[in-house]
Amino acid sequence: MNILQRIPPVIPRVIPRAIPPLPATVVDNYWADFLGCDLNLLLSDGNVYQLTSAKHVSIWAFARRSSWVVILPTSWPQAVREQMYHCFQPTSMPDAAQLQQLLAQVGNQQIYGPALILLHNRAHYTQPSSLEQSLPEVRPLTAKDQEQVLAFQRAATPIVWSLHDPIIWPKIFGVFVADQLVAACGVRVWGELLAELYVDTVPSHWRQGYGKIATAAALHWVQTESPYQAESVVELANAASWRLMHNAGFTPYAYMVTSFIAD
Amino acid sequence: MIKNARWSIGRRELIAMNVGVLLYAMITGITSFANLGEAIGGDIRPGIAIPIFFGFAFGPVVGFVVGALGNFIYDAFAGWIHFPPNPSTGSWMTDIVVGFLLNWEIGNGLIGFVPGLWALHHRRYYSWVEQFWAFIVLTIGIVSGVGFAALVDIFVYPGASMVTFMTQFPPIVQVNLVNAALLVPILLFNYERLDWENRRWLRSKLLHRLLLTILLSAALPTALLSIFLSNQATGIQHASGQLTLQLGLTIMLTVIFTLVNTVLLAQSILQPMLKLTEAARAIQDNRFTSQQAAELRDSTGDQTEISYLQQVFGQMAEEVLAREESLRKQVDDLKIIIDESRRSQQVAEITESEFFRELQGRAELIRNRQQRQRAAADGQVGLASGRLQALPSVGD
Repeated sequence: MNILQRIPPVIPRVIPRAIPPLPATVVDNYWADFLGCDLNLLLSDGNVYQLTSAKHVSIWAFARRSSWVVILPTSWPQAVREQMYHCFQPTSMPDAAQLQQLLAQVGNQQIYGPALILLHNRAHYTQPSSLEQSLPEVRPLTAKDQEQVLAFQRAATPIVWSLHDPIIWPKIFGVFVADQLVAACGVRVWGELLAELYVDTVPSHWRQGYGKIATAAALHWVQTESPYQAESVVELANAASWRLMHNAGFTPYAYMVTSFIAD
Repeated sequence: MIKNARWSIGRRELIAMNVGVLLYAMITGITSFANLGEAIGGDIRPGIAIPIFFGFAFGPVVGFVVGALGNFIYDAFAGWIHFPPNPSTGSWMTDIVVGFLLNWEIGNGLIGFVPGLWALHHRRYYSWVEQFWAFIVLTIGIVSGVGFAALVDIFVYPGASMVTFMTQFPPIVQVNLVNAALLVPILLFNYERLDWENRRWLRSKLLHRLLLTILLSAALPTALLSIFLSNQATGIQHASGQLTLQLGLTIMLTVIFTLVNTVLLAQSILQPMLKLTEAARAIQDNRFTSQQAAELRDSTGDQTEISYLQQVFGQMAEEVLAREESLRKQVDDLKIIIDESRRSQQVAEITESEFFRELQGRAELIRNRQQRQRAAADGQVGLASGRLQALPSVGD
């Protein structure tokens, strides 16, 4: 089933009148730096650029507009790199199965994506009313919540965030129901520029709006108290996350496909 | 090929004996008509070179057997053997000696034996000095052999005295010496340079040309001369048939001798040239080793221009190889140094960079997200997946 039929396409019609405090070009520069490519490639339309980089350890494909910028590690065999050309076409998504097959040639690499990178415009941020209600309790986690975090970790998934790394994870907001941590939204800072929201919910409390509350709290902190640009990443296949971020006011910024070496 | 003369008798020596005996008997038989004159048995004997050569080449035993047995067979065919002798000498021992001409067989054996003894400790005939020594040795052999036989004659033949000895000994020694002096050096020269292991020279174009040249310049005149002689001889009524046959045989023998020697000579010339050609080809194909070069450089050869060229070539090739090797090593070392420094530099640059930490962080996050996705997929349905047909535009 085509995912686009199930989920309303997120197409922002509103072009902000005021120049946002963190214009998109800063983010563009961040990604151009990260990929190691020219900014113009990132902003061009209808092309596929395949570049090799000694710095990257796996594929990183990025579509800011309708052009794909594909970064491949120099260490990969020439044959694999050449076959990669057939995977990416301008203005369309790559074939995940075909990609997966190619990646098998360079080790047990798993594909991640296509995923959507979303940004939140600070100028358009308004505090949601849900945050003003006292229930359920939402607050930043501290070292005192270690036990709750451990229980949360057992119930949810292995967490990546840490309570003891304020430079990378400056805030982690937790949602408590009857003193139990049921959802958490970490703020991950990238390059002192982007603040990515990373949401976890205990499976037993899914679909009850706890993730949304945690996200709202984290976004509120980012937009009002931090200098960072709010960012989130969702896989296109992950409709729940996508819907959550869309409802929180995030707008699409770019598509990306990447891989990591499976553990 | 084993080229050393030795006491022991192996397969090589046995074959040599047979060949030598047959050759000696045959050649002596064929050329026996050319009686020089007064001396008893003092023939033109090119065959005498055979036991001497076999002695030099294969050792004293082979030399002795070839001389003694070859001569005995010839004597038997020529009708010199009368046993028991008539009249009997009275003593059976003397009868045996006289009947079988035993002293002469042993004398012939000694002619091969003495060179064999010499060859046991010195077997090289490259230089003039070595050839000279070989000549001295074969002279001693001939003198001792003929001397022994002639001396024994005095004791076994009644009425023989020092006078008979003096009438026999010098001419026979002289005839044999002249024949040996003419032929043995040529045989030794060629034998020294013979290489049966490597027969490429047989196919050499140069060999064919040399063969033709020498045949035309030497064998053909000989043959023509012989024909002329035989034509002359047919005029002599009383001996025409026999003389023609003998002359024919002589022609044949001469041509064969010339041919064989040409081939041997040619190969001795060609061998170093072929080595050079082979070396040049090896260099061209890039498979020339410094060991081969050293072999070429150290090849003593026969001091001809070609062998000198060989040595110089080997030396030059060795130097070139050494230089190339050292250059390659330098380049390799350089490459390794560059590679090492570049690699460590790159690794340091990458791992210490902000970028790498960023990349690691993103990878970690993605990995975690994927795990979560998998966990979610296990417990929850409704997550669509599959290929997205179009890339929806993303807004600024």
